[in-house]
Amino acid sequence: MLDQETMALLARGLSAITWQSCVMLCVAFALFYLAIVKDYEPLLLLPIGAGCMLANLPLSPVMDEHGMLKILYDMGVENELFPLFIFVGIGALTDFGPLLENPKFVLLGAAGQFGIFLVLLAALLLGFTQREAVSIGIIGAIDGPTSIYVSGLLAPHMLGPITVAAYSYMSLVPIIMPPCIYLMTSKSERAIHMEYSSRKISRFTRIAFPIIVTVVVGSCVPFATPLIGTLMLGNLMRESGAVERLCNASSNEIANTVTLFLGLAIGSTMVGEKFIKVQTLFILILGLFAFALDCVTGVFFAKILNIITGGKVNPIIGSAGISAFPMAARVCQRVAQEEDFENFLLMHAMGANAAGQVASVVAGGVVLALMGTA
Amino acid sequence: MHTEYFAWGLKMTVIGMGLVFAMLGVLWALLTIILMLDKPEEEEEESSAASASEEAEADEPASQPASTGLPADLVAAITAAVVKHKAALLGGSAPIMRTTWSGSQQSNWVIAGRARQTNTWTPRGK
Repeated sequence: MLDQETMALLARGLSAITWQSCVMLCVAFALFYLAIVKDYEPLLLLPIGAGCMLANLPLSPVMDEHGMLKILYDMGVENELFPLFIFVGIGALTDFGPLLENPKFVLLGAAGQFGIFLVLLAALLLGFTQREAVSIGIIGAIDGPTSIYVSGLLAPHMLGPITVAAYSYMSLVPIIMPPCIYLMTSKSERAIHMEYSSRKISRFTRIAFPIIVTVVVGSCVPFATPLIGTLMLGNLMRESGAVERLCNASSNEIANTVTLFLGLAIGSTMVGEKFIKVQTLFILILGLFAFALDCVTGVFFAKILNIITGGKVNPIIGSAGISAFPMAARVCQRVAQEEDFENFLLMHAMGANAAGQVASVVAGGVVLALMGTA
Repeated sequence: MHTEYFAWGLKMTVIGMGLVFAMLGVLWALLTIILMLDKPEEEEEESSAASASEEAEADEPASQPASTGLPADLVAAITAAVVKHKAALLGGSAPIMRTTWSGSQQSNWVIAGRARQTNTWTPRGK
C-alpha cells in the first residue's frame, strides 16, 4: 500500500532536518525557558521563541512567500511599522513628570548613550562593516524598538541577534547594573542624600512637553522624527486626557497585538543557516558590553555633576540614564538603600530614566542621520 | 582598512555624542524656560485658593453642622470607623493567590475572581 515514493514523501520533513535547525530549536527552547521560568521579558521573548521554532522546523510553510511569518515580517518589520506602534504604547505608558520636575537630569540621559558609540568602535575593530557596527552599537540604547528600527534600516540581516540581545539585556537590568555602580562609586558617594522637593507640574506643561520635544527633535534631527513623533504622540494622548479610549487602546490592545506580531516576525529571522555564526556571538557579547558601558559612563558623568554641584548629586542615578524604564530607576533606589536605608533616590532616578527614554530615541535618530539613512 | 574604519568610528563618536548632548541641552533650556513661565500661574492659583479658603473660614462658624445635619467631628469619627471596619473585613478575607505567571494575560475567568472562588481557604481535614 505504501510504496517507496509515498514513504519518501512522508519522511520528507524528517529528512530535511539539519544540525543548524536542531541548534535553533534549542535556542527557541532556551528563549521559552527565559520567558516562562525566569520571567525575563516574557511578552517579547516567548513570541520570539515561537517564531524561531516555527521558522526552523523542517520545510516550514510559515516561511514561504505567502507564509504567516513572512507576511508579518513584510507587513511591519521590513517597513519599520511595528516598532513605531510599540513606541506609541510606550509613550502612553510613560510619565515624564519626574523629568519635568528636574529638567537638568536630561543630561544624564545623554551620558547614558556613550555605550552606543564605544561599542561601535569595538565592532569596527572586530571587522564588522560600518552599518553593522552602528547596528550593534545601538543595542547600547537599551531600547528594543529603537534597536529594531535602526538595525532594520542599516543591517536587516542582523535583526534577530540584535533584537534578542537588546531585549535580553533589558530584562537583565537588575543583574547588570549593580556591579557597574559598585565598580564606579565609593561607599560615601553611594550614601549621598539628594534633596527632593515635589514640584507641581501644570497640565499645560505636561501637554506642551511632548509637542515641544517632537518639534525640536524632529526639526533638528529629521531622521528621529518617526521615533520621537510616535513616542510623544502616545504621551500627548496620555497627558491631554482628551482621548482616553485611544490612550488605553495604544497602551493595551494595540501594544499587545503588535508585540505578538513583532516577536513572531523577529523570531522568524533567526533561521539556523543565517544565525549560527561567530558574528552572532560577537553581537551578544558586544551588546552586553554596550549596556555595561552605558552604566559606567552614566555614573561617571553623574560624578562630574556631583563635583560641580558641590556634592549634591548621588552618582548612582547616572546609571539610570538608559531607556529601561522604570526598572533602571528602581535598581538605583535599591542600591542606594543597601548603603543607607533612609536614602530615597527614586524620584531623581526616575527623572534620569525618563531622560534616557528620550535620549535613546535622539541617539537613534542621530546615528541614522550620520549614516545618511532615512 | 581597520585604521581608516577606526578613524571613522572616532569621528562618529565625537560628532554623535556631541549632537546628542547638544539636542538634550536645547531641550533642557526649553523645559527650564517653560517651567519658569509656568510658575507665576501656579503661584497665582495658590494665592487665590488660599485667599478663598481664608474667606470661607471667616464666613463659616467653627461648629457648622455638615450637610447631613450632623456635626463635622461626628462625621469624621463615623468615617474613620467605617474605614477601620472595612480594613478589618479585608484582613479576615481569603488571601489573594497568584494564579498566573507575572507578565502573562489573565483570563476573563480569573479576572472575574471565579478561579479564587473555586479554591478552599480552610485547612484540609478541619
